[in-house]
Amino acid sequence: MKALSKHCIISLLLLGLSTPLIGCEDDDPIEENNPTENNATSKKEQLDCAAACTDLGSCGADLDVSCLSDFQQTCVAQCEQDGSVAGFAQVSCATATAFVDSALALEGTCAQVNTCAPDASDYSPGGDDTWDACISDAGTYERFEPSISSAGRVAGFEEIADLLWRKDASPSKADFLAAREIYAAGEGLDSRVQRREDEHYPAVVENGEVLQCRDEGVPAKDSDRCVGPAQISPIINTAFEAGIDGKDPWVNAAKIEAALTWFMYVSTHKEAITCTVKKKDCDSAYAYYTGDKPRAEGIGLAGIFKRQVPQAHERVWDGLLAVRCWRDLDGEEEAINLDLRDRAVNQMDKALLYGLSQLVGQRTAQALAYEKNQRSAALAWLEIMVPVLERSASEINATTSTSLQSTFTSYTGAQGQAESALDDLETLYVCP
Amino acid sequence: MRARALTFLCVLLLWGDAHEARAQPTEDGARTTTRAPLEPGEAGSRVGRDDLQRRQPRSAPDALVYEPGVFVQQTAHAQGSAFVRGRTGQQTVLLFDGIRLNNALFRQGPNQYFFTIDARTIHHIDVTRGSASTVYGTDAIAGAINAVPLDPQIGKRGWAARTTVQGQYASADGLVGGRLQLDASLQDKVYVLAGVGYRSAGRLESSGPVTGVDNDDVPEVPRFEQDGRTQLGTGFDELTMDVRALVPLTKRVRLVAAYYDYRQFDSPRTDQCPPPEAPFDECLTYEEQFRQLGYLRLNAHINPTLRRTQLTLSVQRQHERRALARPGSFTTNGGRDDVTSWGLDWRSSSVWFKPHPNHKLKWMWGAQLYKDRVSSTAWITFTDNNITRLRSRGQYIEGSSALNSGLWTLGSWRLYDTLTLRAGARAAHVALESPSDEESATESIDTAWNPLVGNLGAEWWVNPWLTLLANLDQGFRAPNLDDLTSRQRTGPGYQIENPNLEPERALTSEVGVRVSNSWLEFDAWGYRSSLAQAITRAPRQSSDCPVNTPDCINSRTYLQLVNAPADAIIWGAEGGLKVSLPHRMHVRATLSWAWGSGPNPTDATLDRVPISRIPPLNGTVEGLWRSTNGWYVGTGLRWASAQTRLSLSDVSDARIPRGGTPGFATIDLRTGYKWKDVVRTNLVLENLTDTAYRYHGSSVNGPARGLRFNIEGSF
Repeated sequence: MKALSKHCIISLLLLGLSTPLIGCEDDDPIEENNPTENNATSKKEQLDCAAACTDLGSCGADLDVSCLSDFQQTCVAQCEQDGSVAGFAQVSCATATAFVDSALALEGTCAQVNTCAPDASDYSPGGDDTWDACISDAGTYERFEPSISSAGRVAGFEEIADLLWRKDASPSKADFLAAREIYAAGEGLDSRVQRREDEHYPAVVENGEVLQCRDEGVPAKDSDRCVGPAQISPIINTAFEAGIDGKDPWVNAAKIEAALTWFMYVSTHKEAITCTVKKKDCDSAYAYYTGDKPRAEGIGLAGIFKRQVPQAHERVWDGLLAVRCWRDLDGEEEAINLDLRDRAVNQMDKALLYGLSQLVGQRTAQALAYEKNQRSAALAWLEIMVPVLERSASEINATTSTSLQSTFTSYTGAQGQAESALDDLETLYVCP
Repeated sequence: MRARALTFLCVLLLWGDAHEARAQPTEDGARTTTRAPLEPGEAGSRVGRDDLQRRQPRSAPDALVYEPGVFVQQTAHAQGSAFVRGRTGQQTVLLFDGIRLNNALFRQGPNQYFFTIDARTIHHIDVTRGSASTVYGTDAIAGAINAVPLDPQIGKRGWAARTTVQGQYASADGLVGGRLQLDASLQDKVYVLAGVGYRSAGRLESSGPVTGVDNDDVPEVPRFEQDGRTQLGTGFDELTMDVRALVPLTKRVRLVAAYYDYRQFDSPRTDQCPPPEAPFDECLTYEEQFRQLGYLRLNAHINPTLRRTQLTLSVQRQHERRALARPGSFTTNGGRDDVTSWGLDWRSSSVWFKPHPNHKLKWMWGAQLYKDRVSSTAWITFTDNNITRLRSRGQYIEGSSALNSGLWTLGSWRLYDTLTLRAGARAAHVALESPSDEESATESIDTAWNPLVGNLGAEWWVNPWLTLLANLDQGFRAPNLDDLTSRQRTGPGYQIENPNLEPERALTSEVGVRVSNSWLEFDAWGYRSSLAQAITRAPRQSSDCPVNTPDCINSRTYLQLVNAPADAIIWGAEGGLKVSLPHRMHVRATLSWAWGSGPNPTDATLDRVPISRIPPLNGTVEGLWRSTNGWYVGTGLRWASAQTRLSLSDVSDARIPRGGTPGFATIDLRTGYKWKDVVRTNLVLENLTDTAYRYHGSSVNGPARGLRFNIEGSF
């Protein structure tokens, strides 16, 4: 593959963020796409708008734009605007690029596209895998309980998003106050942030006794395990307080966005693990990601991924179905097949982390492109989210992880830093 | 308003002439430990002043734990709710001196309101078991509990006063309290008993966690300090004040003017302090739980037909102010609910008329009218920003009101002094009004019901010591404002209102036997209580949550009150025994059993399911020896078997251990001394075996091994 200039990569990343399109320089060589490769949807390819325009032009039928992610729609709009493609077309673009594949409908339905290549041990609903037949094979999540309370919290996230970071204008004091009321609702987001433990880390043990993060003094003993009360909650509280006081609204909105994104990621994983002893926690894992919406929809983290990293969205969904499949095959009140659980949860977690890494990459580019308030907001978001990747990154490649964290320790949004960060991210996280 | 009241009072004064000092139980309601004192022929019991002194209960509900058919659940250290024949809360009537405590805001399940009676002001408590709506009106599905206060005791002494100072201490919660009481005669024209009291309790130490039946799972409620014994979410402060004046207007007319003020502060609700799985410092606290009751009462003997006439005008204010503090997010959710109840109660009873030498007839009549007006609001405060935002509605709807009224009569026909037949009826009218609240999609309410109920009874005096009894009693409970308008987090989940509920109707059939002679008192009852259209909690989906009610949609369990499609039935048996032995020794024992089932709230076609929080088989044994010089020594044993029959809502209730509540037995030792009427001391060594125990459905475990001490001095 030919190398793509960093400048072009960064420009293309911005496509996913509804920012003004920065076109690639004419003399920039464009990488050829190979959909059979595992990293077929690496950002270099997925953001290659010019190639997309070409490929789209080769398709033969109308494109169902509703199947496209925000990024892709932006790209398509740009193609239209440029006049590089006159009328989008697609029937069965077998030869389309990964970008197009990830966007277009298969056989006339909205895309259930997965251009990543799963591991051989991964669960693949309705496909060839090594798993026994199970309840998830139809490709839909079959819940244990008729209602899932976590869905209400994800809906709260959406309301907060509309008030704070999904508007064109700077959020006002009243917006922050209204958002905080949603956040603080009984049994709402705050109640779960306060108690959230990160199951990636071992339980806090003292004198042979397992301590719970909800108990006095325990969060200070292990802020990684007690991530909710020790790390996420203080970020959110401080940001709300400052936002209501009218201080740095862009930055504080971004902090809340990042902290809640972090919370939903940790919660999805946590609930999948605790489903070992409480089956309905599988429902919570599913709802913390999807907001209790089907694959083609999705709010909360699913909404973000679907818009900005659709291939990750598909793979997280497969992971959630893997978790449900495990709990179907392991129907004991307390699960006993923990090997199968770990396979399922790891599949899901890998996809989640890939999606988060892609978000970090996009926000990195945003920090470079934006100015003033929005730039500060992007930097504030990164300041919170990059350390979230540290644990997994160091497990994958300690050297690269160190490089990544080092870059962001003093990240200012300079182009060189951004290029370095994107390289590290690409090295560390591949589409699962 | 005051002028009208005085005019009204003057009219009443002209009614009759003399009256005895207190509205006594009916003449055939002798004060035994097992007989029903209020309604002849009914199952019931009385807790007397001496019992209270010896047992040294922590509260008025706690005073009932040795009564047959009564099981006291505690949702918090400063809350207690008596289950009578398996039902509590809205399905029992609570009275203070015959005045209803029940109001339109009484909620489903256990409530805290009987705790708002200062046990130190109580002369005795009468418990009537079984449906009793003919006399007590709505809510008397399973029984009635009437706390009767102390009267001035000083007697006719011209100008005289007697001061009593009382102090108390309990080790398990570090409770310290005291009461200063003045008992005065103002030239024998006015007798006054006035007092002020105070209690302050710290966190309650238990004997450790109570795990589930057949498992070692420790329930989420209560949470403990690091010592594993001291329960978070316990402790309270309490101030009380009371004035009771008796004015003998004539030999046959007496006026009572009374005011009772109970103020409880900073009482956490144990199961929400912290809530299950929440951080240790999150806590729902009743910052203020007040009840103020003032009333004027005329007792008069007017004529043989209106031999005992009692007319009471009362006003009562119940005030609650709650705060759910979440320091971790600098947030406090607050709420305030007030209900002011005006009451007018008239009741009369005749003497026994003898229309025939072998026939006697007696009648009782009565009428009640209570009007409740509600004020309710809720807010959220962000303590770091110091900003408070009012919610569109509180737990209830501001300005809603309820009217509860009825007319009743009860006749007794005694034949040959052997058989007594009774029959009674009540016509009631209950009306509720509540405005709508558009923002929270709350519907307006304007509804009324006119239930008719009756009862039949027979009492056969087989011989001088043996009596057989049978009763058939109807009860009803009209839905109240809590049922129709409240939105609240309950133990099993978030409960939403149902404005379309209909009244519950109960039918209790019971048979009993009484044995009474010079050394033995025994009674035993078997009953069947069916409840049609029982108002119960049915599971709902998140989509059923009203708009703008995030507390609902975020909840794990969604519940709505519904009328059950089939009868809920409780079978039970209970009894009491008191034996007087030589050498001034006494033994008393009780036994209670109840078994309840109702339709499955998710689908009535499925198998019936247990009724929520039905008490397990339980009982008590007390022993007492009295010396001739003022000493006594006694013991008290309470026990309960495991309760594993759980309703669907019980299973999701964090207060109930997984698999059910285990059985227990706990024993107290009691001793005390009384020197004339000058000094009295009482000591209880409680939970001698330091057993970890919990009454089924409670949030609070029983106290650890410790002592309770009381001392009183009068001068």
